[in-house]
Amino acid sequence: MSESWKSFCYGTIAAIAIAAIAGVIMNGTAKTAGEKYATSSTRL
Amino acid sequence: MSFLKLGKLAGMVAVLGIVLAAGFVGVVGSLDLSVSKAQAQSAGNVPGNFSGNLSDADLWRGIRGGVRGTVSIPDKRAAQLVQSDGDLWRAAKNGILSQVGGWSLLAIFIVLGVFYAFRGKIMVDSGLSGQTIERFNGLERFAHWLTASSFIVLALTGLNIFYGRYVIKPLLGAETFAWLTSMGKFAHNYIGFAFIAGIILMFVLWVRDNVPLLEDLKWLAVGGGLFSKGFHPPAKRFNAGQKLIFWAVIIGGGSLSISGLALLTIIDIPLWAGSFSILSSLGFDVPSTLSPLQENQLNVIWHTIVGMTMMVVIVGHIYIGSVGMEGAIAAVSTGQVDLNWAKEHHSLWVEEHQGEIKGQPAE
Repeated sequence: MSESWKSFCYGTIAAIAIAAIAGVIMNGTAKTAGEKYATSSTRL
Repeated sequence: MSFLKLGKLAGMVAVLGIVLAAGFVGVVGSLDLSVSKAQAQSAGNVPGNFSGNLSDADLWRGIRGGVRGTVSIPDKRAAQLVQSDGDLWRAAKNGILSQVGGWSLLAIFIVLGVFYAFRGKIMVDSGLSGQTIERFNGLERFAHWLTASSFIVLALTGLNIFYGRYVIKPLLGAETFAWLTSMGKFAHNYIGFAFIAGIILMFVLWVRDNVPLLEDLKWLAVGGGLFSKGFHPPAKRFNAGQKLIFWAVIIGGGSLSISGLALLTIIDIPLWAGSFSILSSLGFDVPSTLSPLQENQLNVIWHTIVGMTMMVVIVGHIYIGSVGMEGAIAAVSTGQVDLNWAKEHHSLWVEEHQGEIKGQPAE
């Protein structure tokens, strides 16, 4: 890896890693279809 | 037919008529068609008077306008059958927001193109020295690229939501566009956390060097020397232009983060009702109570306005940090900038860091 863009690569890899962790956590806490489409859901 | 038979037939018809009439009375209660009469005489009021003095048309007009009733189920929002604010929200989102956002992005590219045509690339007037000075250390460069790379993904996926159906869909087809947009939506939702981490890190690292100072006004008064060759107003580590970018990213990015988290329902704070309450206490005529759906609609509009504004600002930042200025990109690639570049653009900062100069002057 070129020294010039090492920090760019590290920053980009970190962004992907944070996004992946966020995705795993958010999917783990995602509502079931029943909860999602219940009348009490604020998304409707 | 004899007269006698005719009389018997008439009698049978009469009896049948009486039986049918009796049965009808048993069903409807009266031969008098009072319902029709009531409708005819009630000037359009709803039969049975269950809605008071409202006519049927008035009733549905009220529902269409968002009037709330009462319900006994736990979810009280069910008392509002039609949330008409959605019409205004959709019209604003697909109308003026899309148009102004698109034109703004086009305008910044035109402005930068015209600026480049007249001013050209801003060169190091005294030439490259061969000596360098560290502008940003590894952690600072990491913070910059963490924020920058995540912002680019957020901007592109956000633009796709707004303009993809007009630009991408005709090129790739409906199915590919649908898949791309679905993946983009997930990317937008998840990469947002990397962006939040980036702006927090940048704030911690750079806030002390971005406090507005009196010399910033002097820098702004002469346009930072951007419009005249050979003239460079003095500046510390960050000049006024860079400070404006910094605060735009921190405040705009912070606002994007909060509205984004609210849209993801990760935080459940009535941001707009709270803000409107403050405005209401100052005398503004704004509603101080909003439904969760209204909060979401306002968050989408705000998220769009701030996002588009930041895209315009960041396009300008990318220009001046790359093709617009010689030597600037080194600050966030290697972190080492040429000493003459630093002296021209950040003379006061170089004076404070004389001992950190590396290399020998070029012959």
